[in-house]
Amino acid sequence: MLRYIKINLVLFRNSFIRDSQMPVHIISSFTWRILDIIISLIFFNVIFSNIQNLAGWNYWQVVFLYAFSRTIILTHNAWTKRGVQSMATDLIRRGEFDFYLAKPVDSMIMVSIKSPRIYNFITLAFMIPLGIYAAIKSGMPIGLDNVFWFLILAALGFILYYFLMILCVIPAFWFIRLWAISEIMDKLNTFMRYPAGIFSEGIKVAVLVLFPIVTASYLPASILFYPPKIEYIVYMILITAAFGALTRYLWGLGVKSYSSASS
Amino acid sequence: MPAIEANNITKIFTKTDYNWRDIFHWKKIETLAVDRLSLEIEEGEFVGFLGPNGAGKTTFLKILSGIIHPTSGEAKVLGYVPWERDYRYLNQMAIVMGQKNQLWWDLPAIDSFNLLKEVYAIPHKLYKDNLDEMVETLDMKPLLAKQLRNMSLGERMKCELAASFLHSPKIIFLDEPTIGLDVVSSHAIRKFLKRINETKKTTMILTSHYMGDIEALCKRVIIINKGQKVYDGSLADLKDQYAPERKIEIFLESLEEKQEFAKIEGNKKIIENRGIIKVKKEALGAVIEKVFAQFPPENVSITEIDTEEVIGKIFQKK
Repeated sequence: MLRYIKINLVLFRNSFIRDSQMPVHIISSFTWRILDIIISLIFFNVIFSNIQNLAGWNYWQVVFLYAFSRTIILTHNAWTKRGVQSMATDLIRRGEFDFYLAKPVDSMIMVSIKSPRIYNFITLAFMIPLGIYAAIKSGMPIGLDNVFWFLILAALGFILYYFLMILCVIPAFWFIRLWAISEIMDKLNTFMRYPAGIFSEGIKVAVLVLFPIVTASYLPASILFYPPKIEYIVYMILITAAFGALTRYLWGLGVKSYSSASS
Repeated sequence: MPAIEANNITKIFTKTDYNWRDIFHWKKIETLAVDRLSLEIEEGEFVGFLGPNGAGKTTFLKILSGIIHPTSGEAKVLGYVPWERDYRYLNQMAIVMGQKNQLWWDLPAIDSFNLLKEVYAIPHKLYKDNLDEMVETLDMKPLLAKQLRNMSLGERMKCELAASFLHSPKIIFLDEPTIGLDVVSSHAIRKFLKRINETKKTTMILTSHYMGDIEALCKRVIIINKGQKVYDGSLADLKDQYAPERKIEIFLESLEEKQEFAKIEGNKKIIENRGIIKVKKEALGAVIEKVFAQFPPENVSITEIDTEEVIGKIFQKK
């Protein structure tokens, strides 16, 4: 564990040095993300000017859910997304994955953390206060037990989202050129910002069980606003463990069938 | 115990092919890359791995380094099954590929080295000592602060090699480390590898298309073709076995000398002003006597057949 923390620190430092050389890129990227937040908030305003609540959730609860889901996504964007995506675009196709297999570190973790984009963390400085503000403004009775369980489930949601990202790129071990799958998560991210109650039963099964991307954001947010339900907590633990085991198993199979690229 | 033991290693690459007209009938295309290859390599040996393109050299190295799994067969490297990827094994092994970079493209070399220090959990003193040694031996002090993308191929390869030796590996696989390099860089790298092999007793396996590398570094060569081992032994024995001849070269100064040369019996040819005769070792004395009688001794040289020519002969036979 300590080794990975040290590796991460070196990579963050390197990312900081590298990114500092590209101020225009960072400013434009940051501006785009802030614009995205503003557009989303305008969109929520439009929705809530026509309805009172969304599947029982008020405006500020939905804003909180949005801010929380974006926090998960942005953290991964800053930390693991680029590395994970490179599995589907470059590493397997060009055989550069060789070097991750030849090192005494976990290849899945090493690939994930290899290319952080540290400047993406800046957006979190806006997203986290927005979430806190929205939670306070929601008018819901939030106790310490809610906060405690929210933090536990939020951590699990963060891990679950990571496993889902990895699952999306694992087919690259067998199909090599799968640039499109590296973008699947970007499309599915949209589901995370809405309460699960708005979806039809079929979609609920899909996004809460089969590919539980909504579980990662909705369950922790629910625990914050409503009395903690033991079944939510158990479900979150079980589904994270199950998807963790599935991801590790499939990654292992992928590594076994990895054929590298000719020199 | 040998550093490397491989028994009947076979690797078949399988590719699934289909066409749009008959999309539900997928066809498996199999390519045999390594075919029941067995070998033993002792600790501290420097072994040359030769073969034409597509012979299976790189695939075999990747199997031994744990990067890919074989289809069948067994192997132990330093007592470990490589493809199980035990960290204790990976900590003692390194692989250098001449055509791929393991260092970070946008970073100065020293930052990549620092990262590898953490990856291999190298104690600070060992890291510093090894880095100092590499910097001195490879004369790469000015490269430390230079970004990889701004380096020449030769500079990059020096950094790649230095990176691979930072954790003092007991075994190193070198896949064409001098490819594309100029004579000066190749020479520096050969010198460095030789030094490390002699001083640290690191077991090294080298694949290269440049015979100069193999002749300068390896006493033992293993030749593979179409995934199968064709030869395993010393370079000297290889020549004796496949080219038990010597080459007599005569510089022919005049037309008269060329006519004289034409009269000599045996396997001969003229390339520009050079007359070349290939003679079996047992007949060498008699032929030399004739040659020295007819041509000025300072224009005559006797050499072994080029290794490249010998290897070419082996592949033609197969």
